[in-house]
Amino acid sequence: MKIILKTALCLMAAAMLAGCERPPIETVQTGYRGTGMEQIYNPRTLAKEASLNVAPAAADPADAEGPKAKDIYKNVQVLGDLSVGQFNRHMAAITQWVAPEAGCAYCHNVQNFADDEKYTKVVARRMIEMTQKVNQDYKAHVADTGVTCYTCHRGNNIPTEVWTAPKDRKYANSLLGDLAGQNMATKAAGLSSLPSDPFSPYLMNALPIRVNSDTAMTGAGAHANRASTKQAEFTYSLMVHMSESLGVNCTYCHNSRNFASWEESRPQRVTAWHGIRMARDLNNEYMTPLTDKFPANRLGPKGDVAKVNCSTCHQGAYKPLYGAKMAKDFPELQAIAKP
Amino acid sequence: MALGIPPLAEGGWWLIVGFLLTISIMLWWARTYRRARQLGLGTHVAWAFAAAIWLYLVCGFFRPIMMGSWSEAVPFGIFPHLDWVSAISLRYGNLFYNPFHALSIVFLYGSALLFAMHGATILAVGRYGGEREIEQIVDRGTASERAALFWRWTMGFNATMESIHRWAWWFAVLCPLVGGIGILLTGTVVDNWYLWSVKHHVVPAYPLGSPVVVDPAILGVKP
Repeated sequence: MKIILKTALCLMAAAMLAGCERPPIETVQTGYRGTGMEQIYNPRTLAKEASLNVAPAAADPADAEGPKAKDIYKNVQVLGDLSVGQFNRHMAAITQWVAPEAGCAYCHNVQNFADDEKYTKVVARRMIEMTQKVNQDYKAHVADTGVTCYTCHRGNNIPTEVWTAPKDRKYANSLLGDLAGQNMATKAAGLSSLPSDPFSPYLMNALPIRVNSDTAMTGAGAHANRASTKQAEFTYSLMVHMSESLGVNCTYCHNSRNFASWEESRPQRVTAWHGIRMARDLNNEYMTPLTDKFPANRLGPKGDVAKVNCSTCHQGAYKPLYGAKMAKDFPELQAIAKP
Repeated sequence: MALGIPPLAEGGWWLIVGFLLTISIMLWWARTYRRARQLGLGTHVAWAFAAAIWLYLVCGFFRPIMMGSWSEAVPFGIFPHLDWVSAISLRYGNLFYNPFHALSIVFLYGSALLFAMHGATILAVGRYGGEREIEQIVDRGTASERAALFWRWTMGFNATMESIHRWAWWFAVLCPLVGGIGILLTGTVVDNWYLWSVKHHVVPAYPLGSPVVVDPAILGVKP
C-alpha cells in the first residue's frame, strides 16, 4: 500500500513538473527600473533557436555586364534587367532557398524553361514581386535588413508557418452550438481558449484591434466605446500570436500597466504596427489573388490560399534570422522591377 | 442580440444553463438558510454564501443587463472563464487600477492568511485542549491564554477565540462583496481604470523612453 502511495506521489510530482521549463531563466531589463519592462530568456532554448535561424552564405556577385536576361531568355517578366550571369545566380539561389531537393523542375518544365505551365512558376514570379514590394515599401518594418525568399521559405517549398481559415467544427451550424471560433486549444492562440483565428479579422480584414477607451469614464451615445470583452479576446489572441512568433514577452513592445499607451511603449511597437499592415497588404494584394493558381491540395479546408502572419518570417526570433542582412546580397530584390 | 433570447447555437444554451444554475444556487442558498433556522443556528453561513452569490450575479446578470448585452457575461468553462478574466481587464484599462479590485484582493489574500494563522494556532495549542474552541470562547483556558500571548509577542495584537471567527467571516464576505462593486462599475461607469487612476493621481509617473514613441496611426503614416 505504501509503495503504491509513494509511486503515485512520485508520478504526480513528475506530472506537475512536466509543464515547467527547466532553469536557468535570464532576465534582461528593457525599461525604467521597477516597471517590469523586461525580457525573459532561457539560454538553452535560445541556443536551440539560434541554430535554426542561420542565414545561408550568398554566392559571389555575378558580373553585371553582358546581355540582359530578357534579351536572351523568353518570357522573363521580372528580373529581366539583370545580366544573364546575375539572373542565373538568382535562379540558383532561389532553388537553394525554396526547392533544394526538387531543383529547377519544381517550377520549370525542364524541356522548356520559358513555359508557364507549372503553377509553381507563376506563383514564384509573383512572390519575387512581393519580396520586392516588402523591401521597397515596408522599410518601416523590415528596415535595411530586408527580406529574401529564404526569410520565409528556409529551404521548404511552402514556408512552414502559414495560415488558412480553420475549417468549421463538425456541428458548428447545428443546435449543438457555435463556439464563436473559441475554446479549441490551438497553437495560434497559444493553447488558450482564446479565438483560434485572429488572422482573418486583422491580417486579412482590417477590423479594429484597439479596444481600450481613451477616457476614464464611460461615454454616452456617439462617445461610447462599444468594443466588447469578446473583441478584447480577439485582440488578445492576435497579441499572443505576435508574442509567440517573435519569442518575446508582452513587454517587448508594451508597458503592461497600460497596454494602449504609445508614449509608454517601446519603439518596437511602431515596427510591429507596420508589420500588421504589411501582413494584411501582402495577404490581400499578393496571396489571395493567387488562389485560383494553386491546386486544391495546396488550399486550406475552406479553399483559401495559405497566407502570411508574423510567424511566417519571424519563426520564433525577434528579428527573422536574428537580423542577418541577407537581402543586401540580392539587390534585384530591393525594388519593384519596372515592367 | 443584446438582451433578447438568442438562438440556441448563439448563446441560447448559455442562457438556459445560466438560468438553471442560478435557480439551483438560489435554492441551495434557501436551504442553508432554512436548515440553519430550523436547527436554531445563526444564519452566518447563508449570508456569507449570499456574498458570493452577489459577485456571481454581478458578473452574469446585473452587469450584462446594465451593459445591454449578455455577451458581456462570463462564459462557462475553466479556461474560457479565465481568459474572460484577462480580457475584461485588458478591455477596461487594467483592473489592477480598480480600487475595489484591490480591496477584494486584500480580503482574498487576507482570508487565506487568517485561515492559515488560525489553523496553525489551534493545532499548536491542541495539547492544551485548544481545539475545543467553542468552550474556550466562554471559558477561557490556558490554550486561549497561550495562543493570545503568542500573537501579542509576535505581532503585538491578538484576537480572541470568538473574534478570530468574526475577523475571518468578514474578510471572506468582503472579498466578493467589494469585488462585485468593482465589476459592476466596470464598463458601466468607468471605461478605463488606468486612466481613472491617472485622473485621481494614484498612478506613479516614470521617465519615458527617448525618443518618446508616437502612435503611427495619428501621424497619418502610409506604408
